[in-house]
Order: sequence, then structure tokens, then C-alpha cells
Amino acid sequence: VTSCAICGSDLHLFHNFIPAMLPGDIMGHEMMGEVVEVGSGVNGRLKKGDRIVVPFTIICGECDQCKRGNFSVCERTNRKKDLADKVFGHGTAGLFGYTHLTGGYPGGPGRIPPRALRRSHAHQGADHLTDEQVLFLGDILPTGWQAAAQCDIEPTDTVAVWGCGPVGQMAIRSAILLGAKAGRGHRPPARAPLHGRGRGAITINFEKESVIERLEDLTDGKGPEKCIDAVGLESHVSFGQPDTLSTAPSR
Amino acid sequence: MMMLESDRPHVLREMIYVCRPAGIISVPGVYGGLVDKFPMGLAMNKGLTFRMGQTHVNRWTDDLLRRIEEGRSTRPSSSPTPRGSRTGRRCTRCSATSRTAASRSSSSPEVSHEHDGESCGHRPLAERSQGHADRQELAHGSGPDGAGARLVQHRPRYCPGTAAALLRLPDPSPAARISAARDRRLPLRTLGYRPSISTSNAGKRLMGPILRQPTEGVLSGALPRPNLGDTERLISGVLGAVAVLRGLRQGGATGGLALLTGAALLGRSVSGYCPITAAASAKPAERRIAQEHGWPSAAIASASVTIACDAEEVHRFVRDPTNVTKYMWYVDRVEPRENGLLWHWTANVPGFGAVEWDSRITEDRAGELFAWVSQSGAALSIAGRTEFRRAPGGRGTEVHMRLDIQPPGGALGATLARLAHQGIGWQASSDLRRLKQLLETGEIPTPALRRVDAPAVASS
Repeated sequence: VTSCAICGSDLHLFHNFIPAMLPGDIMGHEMMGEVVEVGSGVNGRLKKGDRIVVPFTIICGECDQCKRGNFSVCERTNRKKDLADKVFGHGTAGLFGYTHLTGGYPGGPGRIPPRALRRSHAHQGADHLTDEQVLFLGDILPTGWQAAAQCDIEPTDTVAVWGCGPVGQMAIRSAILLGAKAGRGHRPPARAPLHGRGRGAITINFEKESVIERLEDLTDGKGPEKCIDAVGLESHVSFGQPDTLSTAPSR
Repeated sequence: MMMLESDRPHVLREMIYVCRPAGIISVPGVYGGLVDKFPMGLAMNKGLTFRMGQTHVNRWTDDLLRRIEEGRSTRPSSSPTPRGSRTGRRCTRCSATSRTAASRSSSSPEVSHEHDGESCGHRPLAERSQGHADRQELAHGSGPDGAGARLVQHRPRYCPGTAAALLRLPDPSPAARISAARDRRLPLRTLGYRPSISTSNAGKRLMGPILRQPTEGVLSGALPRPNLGDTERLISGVLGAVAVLRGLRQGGATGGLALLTGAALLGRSVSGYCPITAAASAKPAERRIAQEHGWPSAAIASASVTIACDAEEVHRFVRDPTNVTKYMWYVDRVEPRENGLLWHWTANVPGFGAVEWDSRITEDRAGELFAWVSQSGAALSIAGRTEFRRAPGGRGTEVHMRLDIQPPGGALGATLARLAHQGIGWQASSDLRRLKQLLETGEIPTPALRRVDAPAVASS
């Protein structure tokens, strides 16, 4: 492993919000490195000395879901499938360093588990690219990209991205790349106190102003067509957020 | 279901509220459990579409890698001729003229450190280590005037983001580091990845335990402490060697059995640790308590619980012989004798069957301690001790209960009792749980649907 990044979801795990972490589990699932030994079953895809970026999802590439392109719900790589079946109804794919519901595979900073990697289709990084340029192919760039891609962004859409962490940043840029009506109303407002502007994006600081009012203003009261949640389960109540119960119709 | 929420859905609620009807809600992550008060009515009536999930990484990476490569190939550093017009802006931190900014004329000059870092020496890595996280450039999209047609020209240029800002890589030049590692052909584990964490305390806190884990945790606790003496190890070794030799000569099933036995004895001798001995020998606490009571051996069941009542009140309750059957369900009857100084117990103690004994109160201090021990000559040597301590923060009383039993049947009985110890220990804690329920609420909730099914009613 030559480079490794820390994910926001590592923090969720670290704060103990996600079930099924056990003492001694090694976290870390955004990593890249170099092949030092090739085991059996690689089928010539990898050879010694290859630089690879390791996707955090472990896939077999052969099961029904993998063939459909739904790699994060691969049916074969979760070695604790019984546990996941009980909790989720159906097990999902094995993930590196990500609780025992997703296989309990050790994460990146220690070492890449060779058996898991053997099945995983790691991407070979082009040699002229630096680690920093391709490291995020393992998780957050595709994650932000998928978040934007699954919005089916159209040229007139306003995309709102909650959260300006790494995934949010990737999502903002992906949304602009995918939709790109920057001059005319394409405004992905972001929701974070920390970060500056993305290109063409309007930042809304949820601690200082009402996100809902600002978004209504920006969209002439129509609301953004596409909303991306890049915050997750540890979110905070924002300024001016209406009480959920008050929005429910009374009996 | 209320009060079981494990995840905080504030952003989700806000998105559902603000999203335009017939819009799409995209959730890349991360949720782990349950949320309360999910505004399903809003979502349904607005006709929202939810798309979510862990990323199907491999679905996107080929395309993204191609974009990164193409973005790289159009970088000014690799193509010295700047694109677009010469109306580039000045970097806000140095005087270098931005080249990549040239094609985005409508942006404000003060927005950020726009130009390619390599042209003025403000490398993104250096910026990060100086804490200029807000000035990172992640990827360059098309400019404000750049509609879809310009996408091809404006490939995202890729630089590390916030997550990587937590780590500073050991070698200033990643390429040099990788080629060095390649030359040395180091094994995977020592491939030079030892992040020195400097820019963030959060990173330090996060990575510290992970990096320490393999060396400290696994190795130090791997081998058990030896529990055999030298003589015993020697005898065990000789016997083991003999058994192995005989087993080898004999062959067949008997020989195999002898071989296995010999191997086990040899292992016992070499490691100095025997799990059977460990299970059969008395624990220090058991030895101490047996000595205290003058018994040859003792089995102990102990548990603690915090009860939201005064210590005096708990003591009063525990001290009343008529209350015992209410929370110790294996006791059938307790009759006070000789002005309450002696108690006569009739019980069905788990692991010991139906027994009766007389007990004498040994210590009785209001709000502090209540202890009794069975009379000598009773069918069962048993002692009970309940201590009361004020719980911190006005939370009531900590109740520590201990039952000592002298197992019948000598050493064998003691071993059996130890094997059954889990069961007895569990009894003690369920006794205390019932005591807590009784004192705090006045009743013991049970899953039984009919009164006659509830053991509390049946036995009291």
C-alpha cells in the first residue's frame, strides 16, 4: 500500500454509529498500492509490479448482481453473509475495513488481504499519474460521481448538495461536469460551514442561514430538482429547519 | 417505534422538504440503522425518487480514470503553451499569473488559488500541510460559459482532497517513493507506508489506534501465562515422548490415539500451560473465600446492580425474610426462627437440587451490609453477603450480592461447580435484576401472558 485516505464513513464507524464493529477490526478502505505478489485466480489481470487502486467494494464479477453492474451488492464476496442476511434482509457486498455486516475484512493501513483482492477487480493506475491523482478512484470520487450520475441531471436542473466534505466536493464537481449549465441557473448550493466555493457553486452556510429559504430564493420558489445527501447519519439540525411533526397533516 | 433512532436524518428531512416535486433524492451514504419520523407523506405526495446505495465503484472507474488521464494531459505544466486568451488572473497568494483561469473570465479574482500550483511553486501538498484546506483544487469543471460541448476540453484535473489532507506522505515526491519501493522489492507490509500525521489531531486520534493495533494487541496477548510447575512439565514431557514413540511403533487406531495423547502432553510440557489444569484449579478469589469460611473449596456467584432507592430502604427489604422468595426464585420458603436470628431455608439451588439449611446472620448494618452463613452441620454450606454503597451522582444504591457455596463431592464437585459457574453467576444477576424491578416499580414484569405462568406468582 503506497497511499491511503480516511473516509467520512471511517468517522461514522469510529464514532460507533454503524453496528457490528468489533475490537481489533482494522479500518481504512481507500487505498492504492503496488502488486508485490500474484496469487492464483487473478486470470492475468494483474501482474507483479502493477500499480493499482483498490475499490472499497469487493466484487466477484461473476454473480448475477455483478453482471448487472450492481457491484456494491455483489452476492458472493460477503463472508459474513448470514449476519448481513439477518440484519439487512439480504447480504450486500464485502467492503474493506467496514464492520462485520460487510464481511469484516481488515482495512487498508495494515495490509491488503490477498484473498479478498484476488477476487476484486482492482484498477490499474496509469504509471504517469501520481498517487494523489488517482487515489480517490477507490471510493470518494466514484461515490460523488454516482451521487450525481444517479440524479439524471438535465441542463436546466438545479442540484443541491448537502455536505461539503470530500464526497460533497466530488459530488459538486461531478454534478457540474454532468449537467454543466453553469451560466444559467445551474447552482449547486453547498451546505457546510467550512469550505469555500466549488466552481460555479453557491455555498450556503447552514449555521448562519436557512437552507430551505435560500434554496427557495435561488430557484424562484420551485426548489432544487436534484438533492444529494453527502452528510449521512451524523447530521445536525440546521438553522430554520421546520419541525418535522409540524409538516405532517394533523388528523 | 420511538426512541430507537440510531441515525440522524436531519439532512434527509430537509432534502425531502425542499426538493422540487418529482425531483430525485440521491443518497450516497452513510446510514447504518433506524431513523424516526421520516416524512414519508411529503416524499410520496411530492413524487420524489430516491436513489441510494454504497458506490458501485467499478461501474464508474474506467471512465473516471480516463478523465483523470486526459485532464493530466491538458495540464499547463505538461503543455507549456497556455490555452485560451492571455487574460489570466493573479494568484491571491503570489504574483504568478493563472493559466488555467484564463478561460474562465467571469469568475472573481479573489475566489481561490486558481492557477496550477506547479507554475508558482504553491503545490497543493504544501498548501494542505499549511492548513489551507479551503484553497484546494480538486477538479476543474467547465467554466461558467462552458456548456456540454466544453466538457471534453475541461477534463477534471485531479488533486488530493480533504481526506488525504489528514495524512502527509513520508516522501515529498510520490513518484520517487513508488519507484524506490519498486526497486527494493519490499514485501507488502513494509512498503514504506507509514503515514506521519501532522496536519490534523483528528487524523492522529483516528489513525493512532489502528496503526498500533497489530503490534501491541495481538503479540502481547497471544500466549497464555504458564500454569504448570517445572516438575510437572518434566513428567509431562517424558510421558508425552513415551506415548508418541509407542503410538508410532504400534500404528493403527490405538497407536493414533496414543500419538495424539503424547502430542498433547508434549505441548503441555513445552508451553507450560494446560487448559484442563486451568479449568480444574481454584481461582485466587475462590481460594480466599474458602479459607474465610473454613471450607475446602468454594464456588462463588456474584453480581451488582444500581437501584434507585436509599441504601436503608434496600437494606430493609433484603433483611426481611419474607421478601427473599420474591427475588430469589429458586428459594421456596424462608422461615425466621429464634427471634429472627436464624433463618430456615427450603430451596432448589441450581446444580445442587432440593436442599434445606439453617442460616445465622453474621453481619447486619443498616444501609451498609447484610450477611449470613449456614449453620455447621447443615446439608449445604452456603453463605450470602449483600453490600450497599451509595451510587455516585445521586443515582441511588449500588447493591453487590455474593453467594458462596461449598460444592459437595470434594475436588470433583468443585470442578463441576466451576463448570456450572456461569449458570450460578447468571442466577445472581437475575436475582438482583428482580430486586431492582421490585424496589423501583413494585412489580416484576414477565413475558408470561397469564398470571399462573409467571414464576413470581407461582412461587410466592
